[in-house]
Amino acid sequence: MSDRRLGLAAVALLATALGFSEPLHAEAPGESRIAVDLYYFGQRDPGDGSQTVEGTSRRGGNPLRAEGFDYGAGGLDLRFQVADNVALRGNGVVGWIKDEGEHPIPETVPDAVTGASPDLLTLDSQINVDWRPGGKDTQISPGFFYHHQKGFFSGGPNLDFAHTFAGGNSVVFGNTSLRAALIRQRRWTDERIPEDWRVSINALVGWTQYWSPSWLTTASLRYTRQSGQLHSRWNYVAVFDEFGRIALLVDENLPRRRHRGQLSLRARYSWAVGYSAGLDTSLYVDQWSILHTSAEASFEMPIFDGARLRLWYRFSAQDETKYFVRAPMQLNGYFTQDSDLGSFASHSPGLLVSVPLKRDELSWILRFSTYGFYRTDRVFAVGGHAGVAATW
Amino acid sequence: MLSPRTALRRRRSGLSALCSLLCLTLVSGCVTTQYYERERLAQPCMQIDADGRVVYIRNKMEAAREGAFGGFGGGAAGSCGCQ
Repeated sequence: MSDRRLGLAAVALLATALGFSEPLHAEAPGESRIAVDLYYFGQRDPGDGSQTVEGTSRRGGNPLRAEGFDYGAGGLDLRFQVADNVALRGNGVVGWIKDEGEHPIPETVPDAVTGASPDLLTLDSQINVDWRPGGKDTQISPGFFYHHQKGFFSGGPNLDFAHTFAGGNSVVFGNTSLRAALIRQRRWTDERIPEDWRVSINALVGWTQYWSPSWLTTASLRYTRQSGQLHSRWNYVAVFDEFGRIALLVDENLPRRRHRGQLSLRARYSWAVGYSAGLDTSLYVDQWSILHTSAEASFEMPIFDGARLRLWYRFSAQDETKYFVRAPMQLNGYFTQDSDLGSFASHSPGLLVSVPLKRDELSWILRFSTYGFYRTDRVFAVGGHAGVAATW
Repeated sequence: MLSPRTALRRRRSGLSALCSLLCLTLVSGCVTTQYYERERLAQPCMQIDADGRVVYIRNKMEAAREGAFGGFGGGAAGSCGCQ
């Protein structure tokens, strides 16, 4: 790791002393907390095992590019109750991404090179203030977010809102945020190109309802408008000749505006103290005509001495963007072979174990999780997380 | 193979069903659960999201690797290099 990266890591760790991000209504009012966590996941894109005319195995999405990478990260969460109705929250996660870096170029493509795969240091940090004006039923949380990685710098304000009413049986909540990004990516050929920008406006409104001593539901609607550079300079499209061989590599081209919306409905049921089951569903549509539906079932139970186990299984299906081109012989307008914008179904299981260690003025809890996904375009990933938190 | 009109009709009926469920949820504010009845609801197992750290890493793993948002609500688009 270079001195510059070490310096960035030091700054990032300092920022973790300030930052934080967690769903607003998951907070326990009046509680201070510190948590340290380590994360890993690895993604692979082994291809379909076939040998093409060019002697390569076709990958998910772009036929040449392997979408694999490894991600490792460390994070620190802090929450300090500084007054009866004010708390400061901060979070920072420093991550390292190592690209699998397989981009075999067939001999049928003249004069094409792909740049060295990037290894990236990333930082996500956020700082928020939780303010409960005039009592405990309303919470307003202004904050600021910053993301840093090589060639991509993004930041902007957040505002969270939650109000509890109807004797504590209903919670209305919302979030709005602005993200402005400066993009200095190199092209996939490693060529330096002019910088660009991206602006995202996010809004979310939701409602949580306690129906009975056993039931609760949450419904939320999310909207995002993005403008600016929405394609990736790293992505290229393979153009085929009349013999089915890849003959040309062309920059991905996507519109500079995207309206996106998602409706989520989530329910949770408890039939005995400590036991619960949940079902989450969501429907996503956007201006690029991607349709994505998902459903997740989960189950939680006590296992020993206050420890808890949660299991989940998520299934989702995506219809590709209208700009997706599989094996084009010529290109017009907008086009991409980004596997993440393609069609696939995804299976994603996971589990979380929480183990309380001590319960007095300072409570400690250990958490372990493992998770993964398998997509029908043969991209898959596995990961895990371990952390410890203390509350007082 | 569905005709475009049939596919559109199916999408619309699915959307209508989801909207009806949403409306049903929104008009339910009159339901009352008393404080002494909330022992099960107050347990950590009734949190909609298992844990903030797990939500974070799942958003990294799923939302950043799909054309959609991936999760079920939270988070903000445009905050990382992937989306």
